[in-house]
Amino acid sequence: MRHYLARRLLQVIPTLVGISFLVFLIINAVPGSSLSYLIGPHMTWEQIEAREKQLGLDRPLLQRYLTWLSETARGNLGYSIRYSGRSVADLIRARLGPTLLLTFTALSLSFLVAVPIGVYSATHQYSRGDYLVTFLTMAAVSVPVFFLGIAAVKLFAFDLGWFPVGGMTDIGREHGSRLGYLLDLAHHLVLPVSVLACAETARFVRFIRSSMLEVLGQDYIRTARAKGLAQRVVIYRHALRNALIPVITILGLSLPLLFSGALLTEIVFAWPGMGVLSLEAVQTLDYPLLMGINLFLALMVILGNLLADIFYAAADPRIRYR
Amino acid sequence: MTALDCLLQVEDLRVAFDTFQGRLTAVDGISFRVKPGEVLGLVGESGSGKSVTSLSLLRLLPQPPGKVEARALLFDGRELQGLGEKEMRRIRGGEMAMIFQAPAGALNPVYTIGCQVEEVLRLHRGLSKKEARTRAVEMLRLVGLPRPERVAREYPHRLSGGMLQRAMIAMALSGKPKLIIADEPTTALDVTIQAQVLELMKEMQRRFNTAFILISHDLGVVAEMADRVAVMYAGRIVEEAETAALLKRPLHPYTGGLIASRPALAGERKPLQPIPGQGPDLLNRPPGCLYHPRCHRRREICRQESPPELQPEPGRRVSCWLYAEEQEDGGGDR
Repeated sequence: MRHYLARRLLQVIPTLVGISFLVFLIINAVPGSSLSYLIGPHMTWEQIEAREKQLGLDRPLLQRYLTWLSETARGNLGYSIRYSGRSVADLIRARLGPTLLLTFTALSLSFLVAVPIGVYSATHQYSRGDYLVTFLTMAAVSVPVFFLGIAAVKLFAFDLGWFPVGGMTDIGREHGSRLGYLLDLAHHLVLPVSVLACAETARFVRFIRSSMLEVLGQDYIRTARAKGLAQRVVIYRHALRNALIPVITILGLSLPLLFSGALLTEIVFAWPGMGVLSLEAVQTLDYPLLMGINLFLALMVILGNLLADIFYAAADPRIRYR
Repeated sequence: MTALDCLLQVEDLRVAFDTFQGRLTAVDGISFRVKPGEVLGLVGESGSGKSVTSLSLLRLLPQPPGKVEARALLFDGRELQGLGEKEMRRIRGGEMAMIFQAPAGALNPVYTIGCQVEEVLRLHRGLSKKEARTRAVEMLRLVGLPRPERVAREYPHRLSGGMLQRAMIAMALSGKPKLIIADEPTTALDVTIQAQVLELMKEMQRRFNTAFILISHDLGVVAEMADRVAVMYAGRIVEEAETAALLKRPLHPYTGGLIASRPALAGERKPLQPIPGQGPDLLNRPPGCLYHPRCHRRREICRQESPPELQPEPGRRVSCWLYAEEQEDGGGDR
């Protein structure tokens, strides 16, 4: 296991280099430059060109990439152009917490909600409840996250006034009591987390349902029932444990989806995470910041898959890595 | 045999499935009895209703689409039909256990062998976790598994088919059942392992005086172990007799066909004699005797009327028109 882990972690490095190079190519294929937004009555072309030269933006593509790579390898992600020279690492660090909070709350919530629904749907196959679940999950995966977000804001925040329209906390809450702060945070979390978890829950429900159906047809389920075990024990101890094994892979694969969903959700709910940061980075073609954010997202995705593989081995005794 | 000294009494069991093409009758009114400690062999080809019979005894058939009816399903003096799910669970794995075909699929891949045996011990014998662990190892030793402490900690994929079937037998015995239904217990195993597993079941049967229903398509396997044999064809029992008598002088042409179609290892080598044709379409049962399209001794009446159940000799019954005349007085039901 230790050997396997070491090998997998080493594989991360070439993967990240490949991804970063691709991202670099794509960013540079976009017309315009990081300084385009400076164009105005107070800036001349000459001044912009001089600034480009100063930043090294006039050098060949490959040279710029290698410069970035060697600096990154030394732990220096560079400095943002848009945010007047603040370090990319600092910018990401400041926004990381809220995004991770949103993402992992949504991931845990969708999984916890999806398991009982998926099990119900599979054990009541072709019943009215099963059809309802199938219909709702279909609807949930079909609605785009930004639309759902805006609709939720309109209905639950604006019309009904149950939840705040956006943001992470009310102004000044940080200075109040710790409990009050947490409650306020939870209150702000409800809408964005629900919106983000919606499609994910639906996807999990569908996977768990089909996985459960397959397991319920296995001989060992009949054996478990022939032992005289109660239906509940047969389903939750004998079937679910087997049915969740393939779902672990889906869990790992859903991390990138959740992250991109989170970025959109954050923009809708003015969540102070990486969503707005990356939106601005894209709009202003802030190369260093874009590279930093993408590198970070790639790392999260790779780690998600690695974790999924490790959990897979832990859950299924038939799989042992050497 | 009176109702008192019989452990299991099945009267007129019918099992049907509602399918998209209509109603499929899998078991068509069969009756049989099993005495305590007796081994009844249930023989027939695929689709003859053997497994469906066993599953409906334990109420393990999904209903719907299945539908199980019987005039009586008496087990150890109790009528099983109408019994609550809770009592039924106490019987399953406790008083009546089952051993399945293909042990590799019949054990849960994510739990250890020991854990799966312990489950039965805790459920039906009320043992504590610790007691169950010790007892499970004893059970595994009892069925002849080498180094049972190790085996108890292994997952199913680490053991061979023969070892798994031994573990299944240990699991079935753990509830101290009065009746074990073994559904094709040796079909998925190598021939040499088959013999060992059969030997083990025989030994356990003698030791604990457990009754068995041994289901197989293989007459050889049944002959090895069963006291009596019931031959099933298309959902009916066509013949039942003591094993030796049945093998020596089969009455029903189908039984004769089954015996003739077995390869003989020793003695003169004759070409195999398969039974021509296939089993009847269970969705559209033909009129008359269900076997008549394949029977080499069929008569006119076989096409039209279902044969009565006859008792040409004591302890024997057969459903065939060939024996109807010999028994002018005894035609019809027992």
